[in-house]
Amino acid sequence: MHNVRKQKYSAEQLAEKKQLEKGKINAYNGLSTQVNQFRREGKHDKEALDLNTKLIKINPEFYTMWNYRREILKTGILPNLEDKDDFLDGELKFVQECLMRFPKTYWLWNHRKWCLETAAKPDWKKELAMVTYALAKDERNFHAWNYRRYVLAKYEETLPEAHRGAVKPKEFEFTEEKINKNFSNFSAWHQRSKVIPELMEETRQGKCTDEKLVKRLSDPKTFFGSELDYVKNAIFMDPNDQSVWLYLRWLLTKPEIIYPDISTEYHIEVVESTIKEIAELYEDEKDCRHCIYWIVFYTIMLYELKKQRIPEAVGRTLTKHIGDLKEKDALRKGQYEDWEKVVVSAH
Amino acid sequence: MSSFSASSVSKRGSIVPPLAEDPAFVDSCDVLICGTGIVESILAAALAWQGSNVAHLDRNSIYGDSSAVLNLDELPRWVDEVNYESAVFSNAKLYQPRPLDSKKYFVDLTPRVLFAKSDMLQLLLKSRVYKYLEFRSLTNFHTYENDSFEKVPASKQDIFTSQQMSPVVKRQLMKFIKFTVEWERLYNVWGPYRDKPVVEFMTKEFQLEQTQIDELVQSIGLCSSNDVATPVALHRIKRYLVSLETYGAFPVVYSMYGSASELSQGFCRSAAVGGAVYKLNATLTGLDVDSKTAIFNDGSKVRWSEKLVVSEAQITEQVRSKIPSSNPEYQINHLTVIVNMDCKEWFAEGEDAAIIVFPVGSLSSGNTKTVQAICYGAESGQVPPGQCIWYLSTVQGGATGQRDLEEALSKMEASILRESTEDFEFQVDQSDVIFTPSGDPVLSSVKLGKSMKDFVPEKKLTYLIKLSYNQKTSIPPLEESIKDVAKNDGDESPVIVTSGAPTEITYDGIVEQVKKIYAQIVGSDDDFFDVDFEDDEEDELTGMAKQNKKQEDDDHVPDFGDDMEL
Repeated sequence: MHNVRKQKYSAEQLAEKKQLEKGKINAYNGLSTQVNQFRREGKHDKEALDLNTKLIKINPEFYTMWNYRREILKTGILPNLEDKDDFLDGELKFVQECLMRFPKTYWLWNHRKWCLETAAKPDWKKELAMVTYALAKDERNFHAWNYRRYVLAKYEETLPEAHRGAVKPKEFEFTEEKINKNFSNFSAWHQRSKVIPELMEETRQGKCTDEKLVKRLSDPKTFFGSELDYVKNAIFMDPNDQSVWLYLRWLLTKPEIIYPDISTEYHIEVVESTIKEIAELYEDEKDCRHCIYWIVFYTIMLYELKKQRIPEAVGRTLTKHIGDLKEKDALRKGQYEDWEKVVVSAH
Repeated sequence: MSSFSASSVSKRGSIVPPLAEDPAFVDSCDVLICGTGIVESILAAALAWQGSNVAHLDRNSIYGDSSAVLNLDELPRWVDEVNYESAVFSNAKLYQPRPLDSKKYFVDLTPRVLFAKSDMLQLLLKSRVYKYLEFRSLTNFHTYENDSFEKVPASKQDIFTSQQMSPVVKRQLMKFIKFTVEWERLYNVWGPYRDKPVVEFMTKEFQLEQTQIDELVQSIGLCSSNDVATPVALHRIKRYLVSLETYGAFPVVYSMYGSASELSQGFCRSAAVGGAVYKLNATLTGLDVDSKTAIFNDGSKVRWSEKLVVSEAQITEQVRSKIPSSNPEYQINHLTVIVNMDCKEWFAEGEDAAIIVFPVGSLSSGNTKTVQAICYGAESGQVPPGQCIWYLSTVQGGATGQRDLEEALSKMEASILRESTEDFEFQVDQSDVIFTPSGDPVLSSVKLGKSMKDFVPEKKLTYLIKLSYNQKTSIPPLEESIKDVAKNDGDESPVIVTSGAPTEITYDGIVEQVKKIYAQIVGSDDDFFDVDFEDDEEDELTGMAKQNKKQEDDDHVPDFGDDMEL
């Protein structure tokens, strides 16, 4: 009994497996031929819908089938119904089931939009809960984030005037919750950069109802500083994550969004200290391409702000850094050569 | 012949392997295994599925051998037994001030948690044994420092949101964590510290501070001190970190109703399905190695053709001289208590379990090894609601270890009393209340501080059970890989003695140990659980294809498009 290997599959079992697979392929092909045939015939009845459902369940990426589905619903199904919304609710449930398996399929999110816009009384609050759930499952799903912005706007419209001021502060907190969970999240930082200007505007107009936040926002200098600290904390923890650098760029290139009265002197001061911090970080993280990239970026920016030519000594360091970048990151060579021109002209 | 633990009967009778009806038990087999500990039980299942005839017996009336789970009727009997004669346990003391409903309690002699990414969990999945068990998650690892329990920040989120660490410390910590996840291929970094204590490596290469090192090495890594060799500690820290990203934000899971013995029963059941035969209450009373015959207390004889595998605890005085000697020289001290509080304060939301680690030097006893505690509430199925079972252990042997455990216990007691007293009251009179400029009354903080210091909790912690004992094993603590686990006189010896459980509160090292014994018996471990359990996921297309096939078979008309109702 030594070294006797237990047979994994018998030849017969293997053949059966193969057969099953072949069967699967045939089944799918047969199904799609049939559905396409229905479409050519202009069949828009229950039978067509059922077969369409079957095919979509297997392959939701087949976008023609979603177009066909809407044709069926618009022409053959919805006009004959008394309670359209009830049916569309079922349709939403169907899409949700598909989303559980295929959360990154455009056509699914798109179909939800269509359902809600077709419904007489769409439940946007429920939809918001749904997309929150989707982001709980995967906080980096940008399909869900995009869709969330759309739903939020719709939801806000349904609220009485007095309650609308609570939506943006909640969303601000929501981005923080997601960023805290995992700050390597382009979408969450992006959402934050979208919601902050809206919040600022609502605060100015006296619409924002979150008193604590209003208090924070009414001191723009401190708020600007706290956002800087927040993102720098993340950069210090993981300088190799790109998403945090982009948020910092947003803060530093458009500080007037948060801090409208920012003086050029203060802006220069913040950029200068940021360069210093990144340089310290770079000392510790010599392999970090992002550090060099942003040192160059902010140094060029700094002298633009100062309306000065880049001093020769600084220019030499930058040229060296840019050389490094060209080597390590050949894809952005063009950009680095542009930088080179700016820096060299200073020499 | 079929008396098994109350846990099995009352909670999940299905898990218990079917027992052979006496006296029609087999009289010959390929491999005879004595002892239903975790090592022997996995071995039995692996061999059964490989095609060997396996007879599996145990001298006890319950499964688990030295890793058994006992109810409160069985517990005092066990204490008497091991104090009388046991190669594994000694110095057992049980304190139970008042009678309890014995069937509602399950005391695990060797509690273990299962890392989400580990060879044992993989084996449970592969062998389908997980289907017989119920698991729950455990998120919170606490470290005792500065007289309080700190939750260990190990995830990126915890570190990012921590208010206690400076950005510099955060970065160092993140750097270390990133390094550790792929440490094996970064030999150039840790190579110079190959044989040096990990504390030296972490201080010099990552500038980490004592607090972080304690947390990483002793809590996350569950090492017995910071002096563990660098690669050993890195391996163990990584184990936690990769587990954290496996099924969710929790590093470990635990099986309900008990640990190793529950898994043992699962594997025994699997072995039985694979053809192994079982018998309990069968004590090895005689052995004839030449004719490969074992004799049991009921007079039955079993002949084996390949090997006899026996655990240390199954070896009786009558047969000891005929078995290669093993020398369990490493100690684990255990202290298990059941308290009348649910201890929710220590558990993560939605959970009922936590691990608390007392690093070296954190106790006033001057402990030179860590003390580890696993705490389970009622959700674990081991205690009734409102109560909690604390399993404290240390690899520090003897009276010193016992002192460390007692000290740690008193810290836990003080901590839970403090933390669970949100509703404490103290006497205040008019003079203690001062008014703010805006006219709001507040309590004088001086009074408040004094009251907190002299604070005597209303509630008192009652110990419903207190159990202490010493366990021996032949596996040294923290050995990176297990060498010579099975004591024998080379592959030719017909008898293999398994070497007890590793000194771990995890299952690490066990699968490796089983594989080595398996290879010794079968020749190699290539086909270890190489079984296709055939349950391909049924999906839409499979159903359709099957249906399609069926129709083809039925009427040979391969057109299913018109009638595809499933």
